[in-house]
Amino acid sequence: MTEENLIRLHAEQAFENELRQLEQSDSGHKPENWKLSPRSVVQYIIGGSLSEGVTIQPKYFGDRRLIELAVATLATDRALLLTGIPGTAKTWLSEHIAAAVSGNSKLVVQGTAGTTEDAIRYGWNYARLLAEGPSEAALVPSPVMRAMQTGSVVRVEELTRMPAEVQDALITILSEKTLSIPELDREVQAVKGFNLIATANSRDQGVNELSSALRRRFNTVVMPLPATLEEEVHIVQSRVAQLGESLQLPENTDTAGEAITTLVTMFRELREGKTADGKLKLKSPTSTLSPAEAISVITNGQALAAYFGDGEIKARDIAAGLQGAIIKDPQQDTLIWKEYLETIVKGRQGWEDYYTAAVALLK
Amino acid sequence: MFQVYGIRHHGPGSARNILEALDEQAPDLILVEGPSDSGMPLEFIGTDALTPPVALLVYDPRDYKQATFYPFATFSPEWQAIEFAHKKNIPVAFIDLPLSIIKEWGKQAALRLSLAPEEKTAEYSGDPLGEIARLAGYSDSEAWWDLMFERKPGKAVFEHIGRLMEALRDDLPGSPMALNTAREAWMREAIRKHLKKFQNIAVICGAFHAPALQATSRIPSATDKKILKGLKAKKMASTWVPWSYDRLAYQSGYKAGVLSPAWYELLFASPEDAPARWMVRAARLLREQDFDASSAQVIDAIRLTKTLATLRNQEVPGIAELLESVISVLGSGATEKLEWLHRQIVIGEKMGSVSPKVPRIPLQEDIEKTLRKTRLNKDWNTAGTIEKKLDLRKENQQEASIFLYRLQLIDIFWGKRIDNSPYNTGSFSEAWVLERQPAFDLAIIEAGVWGNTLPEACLAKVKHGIRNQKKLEKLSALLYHSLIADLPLLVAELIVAIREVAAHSRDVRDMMKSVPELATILRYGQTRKTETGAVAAILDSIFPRFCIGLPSLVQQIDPEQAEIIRRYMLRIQRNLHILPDPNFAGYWLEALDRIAGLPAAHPKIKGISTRLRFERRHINATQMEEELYLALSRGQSPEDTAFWLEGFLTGNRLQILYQPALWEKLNQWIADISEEAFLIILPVLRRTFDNNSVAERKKILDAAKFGLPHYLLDSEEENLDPKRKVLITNTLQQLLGWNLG
Repeated sequence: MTEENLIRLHAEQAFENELRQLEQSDSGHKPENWKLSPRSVVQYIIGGSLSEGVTIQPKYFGDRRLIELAVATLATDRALLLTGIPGTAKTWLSEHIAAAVSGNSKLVVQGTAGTTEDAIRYGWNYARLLAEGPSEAALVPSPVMRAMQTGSVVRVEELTRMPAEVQDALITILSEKTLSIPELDREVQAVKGFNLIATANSRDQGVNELSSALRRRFNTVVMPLPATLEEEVHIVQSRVAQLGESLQLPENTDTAGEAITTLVTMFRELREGKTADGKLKLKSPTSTLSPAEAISVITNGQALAAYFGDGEIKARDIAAGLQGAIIKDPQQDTLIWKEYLETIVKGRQGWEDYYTAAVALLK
Repeated sequence: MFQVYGIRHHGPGSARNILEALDEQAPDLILVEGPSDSGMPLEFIGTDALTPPVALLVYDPRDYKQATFYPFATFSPEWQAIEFAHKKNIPVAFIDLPLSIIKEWGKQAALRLSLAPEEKTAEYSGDPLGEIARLAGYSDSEAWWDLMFERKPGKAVFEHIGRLMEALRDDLPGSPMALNTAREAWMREAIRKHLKKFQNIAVICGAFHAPALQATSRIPSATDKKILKGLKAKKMASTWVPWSYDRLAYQSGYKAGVLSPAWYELLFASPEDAPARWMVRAARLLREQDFDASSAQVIDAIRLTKTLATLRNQEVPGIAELLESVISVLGSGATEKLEWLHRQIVIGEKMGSVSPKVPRIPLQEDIEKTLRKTRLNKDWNTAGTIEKKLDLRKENQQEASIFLYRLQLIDIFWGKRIDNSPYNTGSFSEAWVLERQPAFDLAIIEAGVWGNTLPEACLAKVKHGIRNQKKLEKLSALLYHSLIADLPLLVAELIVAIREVAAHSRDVRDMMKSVPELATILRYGQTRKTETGAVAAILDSIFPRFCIGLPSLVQQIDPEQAEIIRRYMLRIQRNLHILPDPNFAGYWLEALDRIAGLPAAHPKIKGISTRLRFERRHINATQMEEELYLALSRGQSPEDTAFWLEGFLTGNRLQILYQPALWEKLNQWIADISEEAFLIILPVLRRTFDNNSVAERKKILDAAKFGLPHYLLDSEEENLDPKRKVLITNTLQQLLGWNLG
């Protein structure tokens, strides 16, 4: 298995070079067990150029202060909670921060309704347990436990999807920084550098709200949607370009162009419930229409254009993905989408093809 | 020898550093950038006479529009420097260009702006600090300055500021602003003058001017004299007025304002532990609102603040870091709680005060005395809006009401009546909203020319204002106002004026507008224990003439005027029973009779005339129906008919339902009308029924669909119990004040 044929690389693999360069030129104070100083971590995320002529690609477009707040949180011993609606780069950011701080973004607990306490504390190798009784060798440490032992950052994805009682297993870990193993009559004490980044979705229904005891142990950073059209177009464009490389789409594939601006404008207008010039009120669909969805619609269109078209993204390549992204509730959203097509898309210059393609799909 | 200290106005760091620098320099004179014609003794600074924030109000006693406020807080470097001077018994003086010259300059600049564009000199009028801040990567100059200079302790900082400003000024595009050149020349001249008598002077000015003043000894006095040639200062007056943090904040529109007065106050008072103190206050405020904010969280929030500051290369955290930490640690990421925190501890709700020791004009003193007497003192010294309910049956609350009305007469609208408050029911209670504005202090001084007490000032000002007033409407409104403001002398004056105007007036429209006002005075006169005989006499003189003139007023008019007249006619009829002379009703109905018969009268007015006469039982149902038939007859244009109906029906609720004949006739008319004509009159018809409630409109719709309900058609009076009927009609008669017959 070589890195080249993997679909997706971990952050520390993909940006290995950047991380090494940053580490070499880092003169700031590093908290114990941190690979980089907090300032370099921020620079790794925000991007920029180092004095040696090395360019750091931006990983997150948006408010630098927000990233500073997140990194500063990890430098104090409080845990970080990133919340926001889906597609606001919560997981993306947590992976990159973990990679920059600990050089390892692979310590992850994936929160689901079926996550058990084992995933947070520890489990057992049952064959061994039965044969030898409780012993160190029979213990299977969780990612959290391993992070505590190595002084690394552990990520907990979708914290609010876990059952409340599993979530609460984190309380002592975060406040006492110890994890007791009563079966062996011993405990694991966290090494300096240990911390936790959790992400939580603020839109989904059926989430298990954090208890106030657990919430108190987190510093919360709310991830915003991109503030301006330009910013959002820029995000979508650069991510699409990166994805296109890893998906190995044919050379002549169009990566930028009108399509992204048009799509992002539509998403923003529908999301905000008003036209870009602020003159007309619109109805908002139930879908989140985040930049992440825009990215997937465009990549989808890219693939269509590359394999079935001439490589240039046309309205019909996007229309199908567009409809799928917007219509989540078949009844309500279809009406809203139709209304938007008739009142806005139809009359706007240069959008005629989108109108035709989208209307054809609705029939 | 002299030392120049460039400061940022209202910079807490500058304020601390200036104290340190002054301590070391031990000057024998302190000069401060401030208008040298203020004429205000600065000796109150640092005494208990003034509690900051306060503002120095400098004004031209001949033209009150020429006035400027100079606000100061404890953390203003100028304030600290002057206080220092007083403590050490060192003389202190303002040295900036006199305000009278600056104001004159402004007037001429306004003239210059109207010239052709190429004649405008290419003066640099941008924000120089903002430009350096942008170069350094900051979005606003305050944040940058704050970080560079305010949080660095020690007097050495003044030297850096001076050098930076010098470099900046050398590179500014365009020529320097002429006003700034003049101001700096004036300040240099002042320094030269003082250097003859003093050996060790400290000069405190805005950072931008520091290099120019530093150069005093290098620039020949003759150069400055040439710049200042022909500039003549006039005598100005000044006083101290209370100010508030709200108005010191940049967001209030004050150009030299700061982002966070409350934070700056803390920072000045205790620079070392200001972040901790601020965070504790934030937590306490959050707890008051029932949010979790434990001490452990406060500690974590402070740590986060410090880490953030370090990460951002700052020695000390600023308000931005504090706010971010509060949201993240205490607020669970939610910014909603901040709105309120912002008001409390970012801006701050502090309001300064000026004690009676500071000399003031007699009117100010009189107003303050009344404020204390009516217990409005606290409200007067509170920032923001306050709702106030007054029960006029209580003596001191009635006095408060009178006071508020009197203030309005000298154009100080501190209190405004809330018209639609539920508390307004009945004539003995009033709801007010109070909002103090900085302009009031000036307005009081301005009104001081009219008299030394509030009633005197009201009397003289209003008397002066009505010299050429020939409108009965305006005079009657003023009369009502002075009546509720309990100004009997003014009432007498106004009555004389009204009588005079009324005697000569031929303006029927004006009379019409004054009648309801005068009637209201008659009605409320008794509540306010006022002599209303004179008002009755005025009505006696104008009402008959108004009735005679009314028919000619309603001919050949457009729909807009007709609507205005219609509203007044309704009001007059409602007030008819208050009018003094029982014959008035006769005059009134006679006028209405004539209108109904006038071919050229506006149909809307004719419609309402028919209705008003019917309401007064002046015409019976048959006569009313006759007039209706006439109006609905085919000879009339549909538009005229619609207007007639509007006048007849608007606000008349369900009358059409309770008069079956009327209903039938209307129904018939609508059915007969052509579609074309219907479209023309539709808007008028819609307007006619718009005032009715939904339930009423529903009833009308049902009647149109299914015919009138039988109980309405069946109006046999025999079914009524005569005993009960008498009970009801008697009560109704008493309430309505007229005979139901």
